[in-house]
Amino acid sequence: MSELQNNNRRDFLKKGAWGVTLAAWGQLVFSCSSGEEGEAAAEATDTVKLLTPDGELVEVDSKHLKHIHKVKKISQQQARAGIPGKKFVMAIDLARCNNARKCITACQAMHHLPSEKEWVTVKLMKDSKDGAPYWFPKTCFHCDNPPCVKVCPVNATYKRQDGLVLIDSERCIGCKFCMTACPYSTRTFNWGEKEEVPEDFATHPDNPETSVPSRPGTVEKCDFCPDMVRMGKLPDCVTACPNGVFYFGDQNEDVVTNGSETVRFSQLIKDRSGYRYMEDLGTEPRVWYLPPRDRIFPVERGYESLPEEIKERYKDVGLDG
Amino acid sequence: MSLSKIIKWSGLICLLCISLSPGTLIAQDEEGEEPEALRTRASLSSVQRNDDVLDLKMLMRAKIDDRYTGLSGLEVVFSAATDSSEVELGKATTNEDGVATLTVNAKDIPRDTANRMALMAEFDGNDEFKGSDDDIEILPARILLEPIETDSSLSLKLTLLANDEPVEDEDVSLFVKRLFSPLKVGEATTDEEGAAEIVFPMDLPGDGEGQLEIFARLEDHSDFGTVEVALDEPWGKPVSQLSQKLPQALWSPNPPTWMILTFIILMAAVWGHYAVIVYKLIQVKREGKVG
Amino acid sequence: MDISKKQTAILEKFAPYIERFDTKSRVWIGLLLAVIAVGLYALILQIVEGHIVTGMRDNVVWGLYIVNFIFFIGISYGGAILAGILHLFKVPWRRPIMRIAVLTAFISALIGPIFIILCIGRFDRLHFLLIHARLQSPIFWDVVAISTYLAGAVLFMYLLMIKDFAIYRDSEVLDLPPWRKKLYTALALNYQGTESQIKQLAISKNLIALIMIPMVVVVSSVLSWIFGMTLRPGWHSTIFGPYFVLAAIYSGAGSIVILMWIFRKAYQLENYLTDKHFAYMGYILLALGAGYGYFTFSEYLTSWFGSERWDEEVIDKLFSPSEYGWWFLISNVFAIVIPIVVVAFKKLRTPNLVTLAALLMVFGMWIKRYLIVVPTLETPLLPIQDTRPEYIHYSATWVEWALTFAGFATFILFFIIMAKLVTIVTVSDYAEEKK
Repeated sequence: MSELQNNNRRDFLKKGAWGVTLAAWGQLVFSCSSGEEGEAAAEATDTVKLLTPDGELVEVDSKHLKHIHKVKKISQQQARAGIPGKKFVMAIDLARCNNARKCITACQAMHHLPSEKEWVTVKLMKDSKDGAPYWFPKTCFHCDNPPCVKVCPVNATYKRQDGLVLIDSERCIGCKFCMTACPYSTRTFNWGEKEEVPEDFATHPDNPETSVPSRPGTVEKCDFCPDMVRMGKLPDCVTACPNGVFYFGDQNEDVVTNGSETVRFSQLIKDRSGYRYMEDLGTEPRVWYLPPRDRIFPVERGYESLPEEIKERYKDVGLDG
Repeated sequence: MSLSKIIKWSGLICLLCISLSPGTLIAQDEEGEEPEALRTRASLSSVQRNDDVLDLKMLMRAKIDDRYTGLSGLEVVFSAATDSSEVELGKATTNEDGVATLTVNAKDIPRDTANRMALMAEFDGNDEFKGSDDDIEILPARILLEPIETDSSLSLKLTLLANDEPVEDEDVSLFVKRLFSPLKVGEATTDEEGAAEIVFPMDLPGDGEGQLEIFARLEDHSDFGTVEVALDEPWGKPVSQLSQKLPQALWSPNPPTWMILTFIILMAAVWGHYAVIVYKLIQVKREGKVG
Repeated sequence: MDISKKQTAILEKFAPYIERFDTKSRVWIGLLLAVIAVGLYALILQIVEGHIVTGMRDNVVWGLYIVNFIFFIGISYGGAILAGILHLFKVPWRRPIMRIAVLTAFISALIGPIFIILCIGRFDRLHFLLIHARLQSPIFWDVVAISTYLAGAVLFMYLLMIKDFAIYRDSEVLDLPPWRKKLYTALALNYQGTESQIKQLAISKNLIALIMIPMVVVVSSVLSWIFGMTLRPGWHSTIFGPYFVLAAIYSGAGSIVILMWIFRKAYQLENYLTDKHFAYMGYILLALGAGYGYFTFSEYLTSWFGSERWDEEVIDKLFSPSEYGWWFLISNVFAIVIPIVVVAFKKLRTPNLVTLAALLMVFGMWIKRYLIVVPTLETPLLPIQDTRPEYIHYSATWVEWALTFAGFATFILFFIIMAKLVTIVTVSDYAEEKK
């Protein structure tokens, strides 16, 4: 089944009985004829076999489909300075999150992360024993007074003028001091993944704006997708969210958008009593939260349909009881 | 999934039977599995802008994974039709989002007796994707935008004209261009003179000089398509440009002065001691030689 | 230079130990090398496979390596500051202890940084610490502090050895191979004991001892600030600087006592390292133990009483028997109660018991360092909400243990080697007394 390892192709297996059968047929026929132990000779070409909704088997050049990062080639200085005149800000609407986890998977696809590594996470929070539980999507807060940047001994993680906190994985020595300094457990470490440069990045891999590829023995985190932003596109977590939880924009323009709604940032914070998580730490996050008032989903909605293994994470909060 | 499993297994068994039967060569069947082309869907739209600029936009999509997904890198041919003939306007290739855009001068487009433009776009199809096309008919329309500035307020007067006649009872909106998507700052319905006035907010940040890119738009009208007009006005609050130099701070590459001083003093004190000691040791050695 | 009768007697006593390796020490060296070899294998594994082979994960990003780092660096700082104080205040009973103290300072300062390198994900980029240095980072402070300190420790040790090198060079008692004679000749810096040389050397020693004391206070504090500067419960505390200074001196003093006992036993030095010396070191342990106990009490009382949410979570872990409660108790009994009780009673104040107390204390201090590092890292401000057990609780892998033991083995090995190169008692000190 290794032919199906490709994400694009795997997606098309959800088509139901007929589709699966066809795919199985195709695979069997293919592997018999090529005489290889399921090794995908098709990998050599750029074509992808797809099943249409009508159950037809089609072959498509992957360049028409793949999420190709047309990353702008930028210099180290540009990557260090940031996008001129911008000050990025995010507002996360807790009233809309039902833990659909699309932000997580989109981020993983964008950054070629293994499935167990989540730069964006969704926590189930309950601030006090009798408080109401709520879903809490968490990106990097890109603090204006970032404790992680303060402690970096080699200037590998840095704060830009556009507000973003990025990591130069070519510079990071992996001391993990920033991980202990971050009060929000934002940062992850590459404990053992091997370095794989995806084709899209092969031409200019060492750009701190893409955070790809993952360098072994270095620290990684959510980067607000500056490579996308540079092209005027929203970060993938924002566009992937089916509920429009994430609003992203430039605070200098005072506008944030979740892809479908575009609103004044200051108005949104005012109307919805926006706040920053753990304001008292003095880290000055660039991520704001809108309290979960008038929620559009009951909190259980984000729990019931989860796979057992992920449900397990939230057992201490006790939604079951 | 149980059904699919049954079918899958029966498929497997069939295959085994076939491959066990003498003389059957599955290998040659690969040709028989020649994939068909993927069906595509085309949608053509237009934006009429200032000075007779007309944008033709063709969105090419295919249904993949139950969602329509834009297809990039496909060539689209745009043309205009009259009663008798068809004029090719140009070609464009779809971008990452699956949109091919061709900008033309509206005056160059042939019209019918009602001054209507019949526009067409077609993707011919290739080995992978089936061809598809779409056509639209639009009437030339434009919006006139007139800024009204008083001491205490800002507003814009919009006039919607089609074939140079005012259009009544249409919703027009006013936007300001922003980084990712435009911000709507107001909307209004045109009166019998085709006019509408929209108050403009006074507290919007602009660029360094306070310039704003304002545009008014009639969205996806059945007769006119999208009609848009843009205007630059210095109506924003100037955003002070960020200084290129990072401050002396704990989080910046530039350390605070006191830190540099403390570091130098401490280092000088300790290494100064070391230097004196090393000097004395050199003396010890020298004296020993003499002695 | 002139070698007194007394000095000749000491040299005669030490001759067998420094002239050649006997079978016993060969066996020891073999054993230690075996332990180090296992550690090297673990190291290679860690380099090839990545840090995945350790027990560290995204929450507990620092583990045994950092514990050992603080432990060895602490001992080193302790040895240095004690040597500095004993020298500067001309403490009369210091003579047989000084050499052990400076050797402890020197050797631990070599072992400690190895562990920080083990903890770093990309030690192939270690030079970035210099070429891309950021003055604001406590790690940079530590790099500067440790290297500056190490230079001082080497200088201190060397200054206290110059006269001895001259004696080894000139003594006819010692039967040394030519290369060692040459080595001592070079190291002795033409020291002949002229009046001017005596004076220059004395000033140098005083200077280094003088600067050593404030320097150790600063560098120990810098060590603590790696933790203190973060916004983490159990770390973010103003007491951490002085707490680490005291803990360093304390564990350094304990290590010196243990080493004194070992050398007294191995080299039959009862005439040099007398019961009195153990009693005096015991008094130092008592005073430091009381101070350390006071700091510990004050630190945990403040957190517990204030009971801020995060502080309380860490305190709960330290106090609860199902988590770190037993270890917390053991570390405090070993490091506070036992040394004080043993030294307080004259009957218990024997070399053996004082050493046993020191041993338990040093072990307790090691546990204490573990309890500083790990429980705090297991208590992030946001809930962990992970199903992978290694991301919730830290448990060191064999790789980390192997490298830990290799570190201890290297410490002992270096000590054995140094004890071959120099006498463990400063021979020259005994001459001055006579003059």
